[in-house]
Amino acid sequence: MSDKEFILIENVWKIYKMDTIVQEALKGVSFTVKKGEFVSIMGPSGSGKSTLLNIIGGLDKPSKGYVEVAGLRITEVSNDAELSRYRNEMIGFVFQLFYLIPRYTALQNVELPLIPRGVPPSKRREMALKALKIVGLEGKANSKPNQMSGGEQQRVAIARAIVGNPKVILADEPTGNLDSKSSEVIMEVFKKLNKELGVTIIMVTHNLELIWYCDRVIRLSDGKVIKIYNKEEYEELLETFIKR
Amino acid sequence: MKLYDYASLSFASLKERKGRTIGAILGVMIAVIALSLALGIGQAFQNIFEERLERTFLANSIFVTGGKGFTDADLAYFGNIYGVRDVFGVAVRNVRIAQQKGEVTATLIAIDPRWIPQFIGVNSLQDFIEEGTSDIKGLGVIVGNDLWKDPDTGTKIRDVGEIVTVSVAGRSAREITFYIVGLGASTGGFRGMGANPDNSIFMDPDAFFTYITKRRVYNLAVVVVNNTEDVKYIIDEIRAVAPQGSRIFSPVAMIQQVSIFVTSLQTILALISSVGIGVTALWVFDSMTISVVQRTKEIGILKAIGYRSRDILLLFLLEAIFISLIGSIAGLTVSMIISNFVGIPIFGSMVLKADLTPTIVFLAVILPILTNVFAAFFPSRRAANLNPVEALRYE
Ligand SMILES: Nc1ncnc2c1ncn2[C@@H]1O[C@H](COP(=O)(O)OP(=O)(O)OP(=O)(O)O)[C@@H](O)[C@H]1O
Ligand SMILES: [Mg+2]
Repeated sequence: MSDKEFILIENVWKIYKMDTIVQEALKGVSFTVKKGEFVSIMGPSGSGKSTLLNIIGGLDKPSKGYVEVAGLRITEVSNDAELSRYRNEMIGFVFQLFYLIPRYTALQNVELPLIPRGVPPSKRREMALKALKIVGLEGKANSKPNQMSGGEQQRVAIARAIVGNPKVILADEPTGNLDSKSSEVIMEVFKKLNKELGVTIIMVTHNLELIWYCDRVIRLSDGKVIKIYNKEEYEELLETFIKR
Repeated sequence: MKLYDYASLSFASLKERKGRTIGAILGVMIAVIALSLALGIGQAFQNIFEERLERTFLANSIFVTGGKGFTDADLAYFGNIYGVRDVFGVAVRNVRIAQQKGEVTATLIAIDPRWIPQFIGVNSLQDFIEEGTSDIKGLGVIVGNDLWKDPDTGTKIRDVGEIVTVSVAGRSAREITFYIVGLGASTGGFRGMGANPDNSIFMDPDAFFTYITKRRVYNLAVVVVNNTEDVKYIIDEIRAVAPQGSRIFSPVAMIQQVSIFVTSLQTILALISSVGIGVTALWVFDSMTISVVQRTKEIGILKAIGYRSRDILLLFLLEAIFISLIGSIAGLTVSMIISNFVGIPIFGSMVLKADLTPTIVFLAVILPILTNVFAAFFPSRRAANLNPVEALRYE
């Protein structure tokens, strides 16, 4: 594994078979992500973005092809304990709908990933407070999710994703449910994580304004990579969308 | 400690669903109360039979009563039956005694002193004589505990060397004055053939058949057997030779019958209460199944942030363990209070209180846990094996 191929996605297929219907969600997706890179995945609804993210995060398995993260061919791991450890230590998930657990406070939600790791309570609290501080929410540690705005909830979710110092953040439309101001706050947090902590980020988004935070954009359509855009090619990317 | 953390997570989720949790806990409680009391009362019965009746009702004795009584010839017939070790006759009269606090009734028992232990169920005469001797020749008598000791205050109202006058009712009504040679120890009341030794006066049979009645007829024949296993056969033999109208009574047979009754009663009660535990388990199963569905998304989240399947299994099983543990401890507490304060009176003087032995306590805790964990296992395993992607997508 080199840092250039920190995340390696090689000819990944995902085929759903339901009775007679065969649904090809991914049709041979291949690309690499460098260590410390911030890439975005764009594409129309149903193009397979979430499916791809789930496969990278070890939540789902491809029908064909493989994914390597930091040299570990995660798509080949079937042992539940090993897979869980990978999700717990290597990956931080951020979802469009935040997915906080409503009965717990922000702090307790952020502490959750540390429990199966066996981190002792005081240390856990310390780590969770630090993560909340990174997202600028140390003051809301004892608030429940329903007492917070959407943007704040998403920041708590990000704190939960980073509390265990993952190498990779996988964000599936993290701003999809937020207004533009909250979106900006979230993106600034991502930028900080990326620049200051060197976390590799793969973010699915529909929002063209957000691509400026990213180093590259991977355009997906109908389960295939159409084109990968560098920053210099962003104008071209924007034009294709405006033309439509 | 990790288990502690999982326990507090489970507890938090139980707290969130208060209604269902309290319902399940109440279910366990009621089942545990029923079970522990059923077993405890059965146990108390058993204790009484083992510790009291079996000892006092002398398993190797067969009592023959009724008819016109038994002559020495009758006793000799009984004595000739194979397997019989001893036979003795006992004559009994109700008498009245003038005590300080007024007249009381007592039982005058004519018995050879060497048979007293066998008759009242003590190991030896020494165990029965608290003061004085057992030498009841002529008009010397042994006075039962309640007759020489004030039953209320416990102070001595009669003593060795003093005299006691009794009035005998019936056809040959008269007053007789005995002198006290021995004072009986307390035997705890009710014994053998309806006589209470504490309320009896033991006298020499020869004197009895001289001063009380001239007819040498015993009201009761006691047949002592060598081997309790022969009791059934010997009863048949006695029936063949006993006078018309005799009633034969064997403690062994009675104890066996009562034991069978008590054991079946205990089994039935335990089964009924087990139904309660079963119903609670069904409730737990149902409640967990609903809970797993309701918390599908949460399970997906936990999996996405790195909880193993077995962590999730544990989280759900811990909920069942909590419900069972809280329910059985609360139930046991109630049972203990009930067993301390509520008693079932039996045999008049005895009060039956549920005896919660360590085994019963252990069963009452472990049984609901086992059944509820078993019931919770299937929904919990479903939760543990949920596909994370589908669980997250679940609305
Ligand atoms: N469990 C499944 N069974 C069958 N088909 C599925 C399943 N999950 C996803 N699909 C299909 O796979 C395709 C890709 O789905 P995916 O959720 O990855 O799309 P997406 O790019 O994330 O879309 P969106 O932007 O709407 O979130 C879709 O056509 C979807 O219907
Ligand atoms: Mg999607």
